[in-house]
Amino acid sequence: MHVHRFEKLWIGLSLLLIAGFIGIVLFGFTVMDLKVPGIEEGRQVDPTTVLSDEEFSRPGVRKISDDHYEVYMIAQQFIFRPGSTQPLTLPANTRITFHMTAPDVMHGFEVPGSGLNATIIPGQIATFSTRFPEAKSYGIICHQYCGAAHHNMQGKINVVPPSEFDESNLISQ
Amino acid sequence: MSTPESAAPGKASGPEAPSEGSKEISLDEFEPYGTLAVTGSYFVLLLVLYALLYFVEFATHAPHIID
Repeated sequence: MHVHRFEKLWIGLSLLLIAGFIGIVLFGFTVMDLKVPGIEEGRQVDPTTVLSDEEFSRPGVRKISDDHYEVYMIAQQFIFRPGSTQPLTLPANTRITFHMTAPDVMHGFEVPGSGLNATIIPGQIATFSTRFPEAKSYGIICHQYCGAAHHNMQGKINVVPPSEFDESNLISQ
Repeated sequence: MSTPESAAPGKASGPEAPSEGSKEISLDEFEPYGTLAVTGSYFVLLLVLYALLYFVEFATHAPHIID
């Protein structure tokens, strides 16, 4: 088959581009060790009883160590608990692990302007870890349509310097 | 396989007949530099925007998923 030299050029460039994209993704997940939000492997919860489960019956911030806190959060129509009625207060420059689930329908968790983004599916626990590099306020929005008041489903994260973090609001283990 | 058209190139009559002043050229003589320029500029635009993604995703001072 005879292929015109211009066509050879742009077919070649396209193939190089595809190879480049695949290479960059492989580089990101191996050398840069990038992570994506996951679900807790092998752990299913019953959405109808999750509100009375061990951790999710008392959603909030728990301390694991001085440099590691975890957040158990319920996303439900149409609030984040904690986050919506009370802002979620977290220390800056500290490892934070989020565990989130939903008792009703699928919700989204997104902190606009950041890389924090997860889908919260009833029956599964969405989880990821992060560090907030600076003390400031971040918003939370639901980015999965979850019902008539979906557009009002929002929350707030107040990140404070670790020295000002008030541990009296933590959920005891 | 020869069709009536390929068997008698240039001898077609009617609306498909080559007009005065036109000539047939081979594929390699056809040089669509305009198409090349448009395709090339889309390619360059794509690379520039893809490079900008680095700054959107990683170079901001915003939290991201580490584990």
